[in-house]
Amino acid sequence: MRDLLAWVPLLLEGLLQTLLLFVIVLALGFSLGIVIGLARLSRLRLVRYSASAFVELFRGVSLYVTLFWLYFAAPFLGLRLSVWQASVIGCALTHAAYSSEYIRAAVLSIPASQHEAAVALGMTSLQRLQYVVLPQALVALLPLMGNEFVMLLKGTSVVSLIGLADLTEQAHSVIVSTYQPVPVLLVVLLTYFVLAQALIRLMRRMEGRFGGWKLRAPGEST
Amino acid sequence: MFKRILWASVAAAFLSGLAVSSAAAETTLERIKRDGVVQVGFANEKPYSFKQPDGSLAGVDYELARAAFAKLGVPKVEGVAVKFSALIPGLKAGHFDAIAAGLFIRPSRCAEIAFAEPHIQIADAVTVRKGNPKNIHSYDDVLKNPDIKIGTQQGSASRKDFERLGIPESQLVSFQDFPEVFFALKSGRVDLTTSTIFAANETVAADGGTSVERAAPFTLPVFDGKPSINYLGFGFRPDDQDLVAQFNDALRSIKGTPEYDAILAKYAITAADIPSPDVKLADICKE
Repeated sequence: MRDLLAWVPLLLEGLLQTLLLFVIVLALGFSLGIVIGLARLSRLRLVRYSASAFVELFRGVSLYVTLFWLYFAAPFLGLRLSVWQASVIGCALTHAAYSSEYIRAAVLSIPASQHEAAVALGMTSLQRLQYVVLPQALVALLPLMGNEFVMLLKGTSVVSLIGLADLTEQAHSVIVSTYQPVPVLLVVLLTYFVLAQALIRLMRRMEGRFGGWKLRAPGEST
Repeated sequence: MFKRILWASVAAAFLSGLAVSSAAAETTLERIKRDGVVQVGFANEKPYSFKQPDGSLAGVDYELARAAFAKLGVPKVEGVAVKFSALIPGLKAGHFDAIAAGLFIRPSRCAEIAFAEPHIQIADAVTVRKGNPKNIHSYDDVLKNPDIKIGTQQGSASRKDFERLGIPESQLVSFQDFPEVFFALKSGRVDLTTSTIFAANETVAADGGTSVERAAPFTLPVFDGKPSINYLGFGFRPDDQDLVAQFNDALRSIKGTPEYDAILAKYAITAADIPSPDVKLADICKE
């Protein structure tokens, strides 16, 4: 057991990498997801179709395969990404594809009367998006995205397969040297569980905070 | 809020810098000498190259590589971790410049990458569960009993040996990495594994003799009249012949120095495990 304690700093380093990757992928993937989700609702056929193609591609290909392509095959096409760049891009594209579907659904859930009211007030389409559609859509999204974010957090462990030194990969290093898979995997299991719980609680608090605003939104309750 | 998210994402995308590789005019050898740094791929496997608690690397292949590269005027050797089956793809994709991972020199691999002259020779050892419950003493025993499962590592050289021995696919179970093969053996998912004697001793010792042991006696197979001996070699890209030549010279020149002997002693590698100068890469690469 004592020799396992010597490895704690390495595991913490891995944990830090996992959290960093999660935060970056979340920010990039979710933002891209908003853009793609809105593009799928565009009036322009080309934009709509391109967005659909993106979603189907990255939903249809496993993250593992995407990462392998980015890291091991892309260099032959002239694109050499570091393990970090490949991981961030692969995870963000996949996450964007999934979250864009939720965003599309959330935007569609906003009553047409609100669009009409915004038009009547003389808002441009960008203003309608910024002041009317997105603030409500994002709130409607919160309960849905909680699930997706937890999946993303755990899903980042796939990057260990291309060698990014995240929590899973570092745990693997410890197992290789100590030959004690059970205690190490137990620590990893508990860590992901605690992180997921913290994330779920955070999302619930945000729902409580911003969801209240939703009740006062015009057209929903008067 | 939307605007801020959008801008943050644009900025982040920019910062992550999609580095498009340009056709470099200088060779790998010139580059590593200029930078003083070389990157080697490793698969986290004892005793070849593995991580230590402080995150640094150790292992016989890593340390020999470091000594040889130092001789070449490249003082820093950095490790790039990959799964075993990704060592050759990673080298070819340019994520590192050499493989220092106890890779066996095999004809099929010689066709893909350039090897340095062999630095270690080692026979296979077969590990089974304690007491050898399925009574396995040769591969003929395996062929006679279809219930016996062999655990192998993806991309492992032993796969080809099993094919030549006529062991059916249904008796082989693949795992990502070597430690997983051993855990599969311990938990009864497979009945035997092959590995180098080093790795077998290492894992039996780590297990404390409670659940696995080396199968003894075990008749190792003979191919084309030769007993199967594995030769370990450092791997390079085929274009880097100048680097391979200089690396070979460097490796030869450190042989017998106190530093070299100390590295071998640290990993319990004896003189018998070092191939004689008569053993040539070209012969090992022949089919």
